[in-house]
Amino acid sequence: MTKKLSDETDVRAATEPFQAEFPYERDEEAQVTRREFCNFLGLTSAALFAGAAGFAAKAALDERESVSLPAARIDGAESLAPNSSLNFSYPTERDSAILIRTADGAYHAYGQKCTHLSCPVYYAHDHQRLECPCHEGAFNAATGDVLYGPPPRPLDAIEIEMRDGQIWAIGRTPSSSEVGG
Amino acid sequence: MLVMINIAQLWILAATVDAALGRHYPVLVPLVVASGVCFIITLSIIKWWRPTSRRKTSTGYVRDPR
Repeated sequence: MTKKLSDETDVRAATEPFQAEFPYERDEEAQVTRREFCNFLGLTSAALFAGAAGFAAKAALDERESVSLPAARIDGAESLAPNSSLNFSYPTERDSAILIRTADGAYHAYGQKCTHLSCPVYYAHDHQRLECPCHEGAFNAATGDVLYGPPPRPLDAIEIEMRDGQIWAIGRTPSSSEVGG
Repeated sequence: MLVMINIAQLWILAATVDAALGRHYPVLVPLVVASGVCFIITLSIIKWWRPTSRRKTSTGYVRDPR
């Protein structure tokens, strides 16, 4: 006794002769009904919405969270010649940073990770700017702003302070402004 | 239509992750709202869409005889 296929609610019972001759397993073909597929897409939509909301909430929490970092003396900074740089670590040993003394004698410090793909930037004293060797990005030595290249935002700034003739790192400010924004 | 909305939401999620990691906070709320609108449209389609071959009766949707 064969049963005629009427609609998707009855699709699992389809046993017409032409269906039997067709070289696909009818049971496998009918594993997902249209309604089940729509429900799956609805769940996917809910998951994508939850993911977007979760990421936004996490970012908002991170923005509000203020972490006070310990001050650390930068060894050798006092004897740094103008138009040269010195590498140091701040706030932990794993966070490499670069201290620059520009030609006018002013000190500036930045996180050493390029904001493009985290390559270490270096001070190109010939051009008096910070350059990334990986993808040819460059940053202003006095402000940390992007001069050109693929980096999407300025370098993280490290706050420095002069105490009794010594240079101390006292905080780190993640950059947030977009290039041109 | 539902697949297209899912693809749009996937794109919005990628933009949200990119904005969160890049600390572009002002764009996060519009992105989440856009994703929420897509989700509401998806729910609406799933709840109310029926094939044109169906006819609404007092007992629900039935298929017209051929």
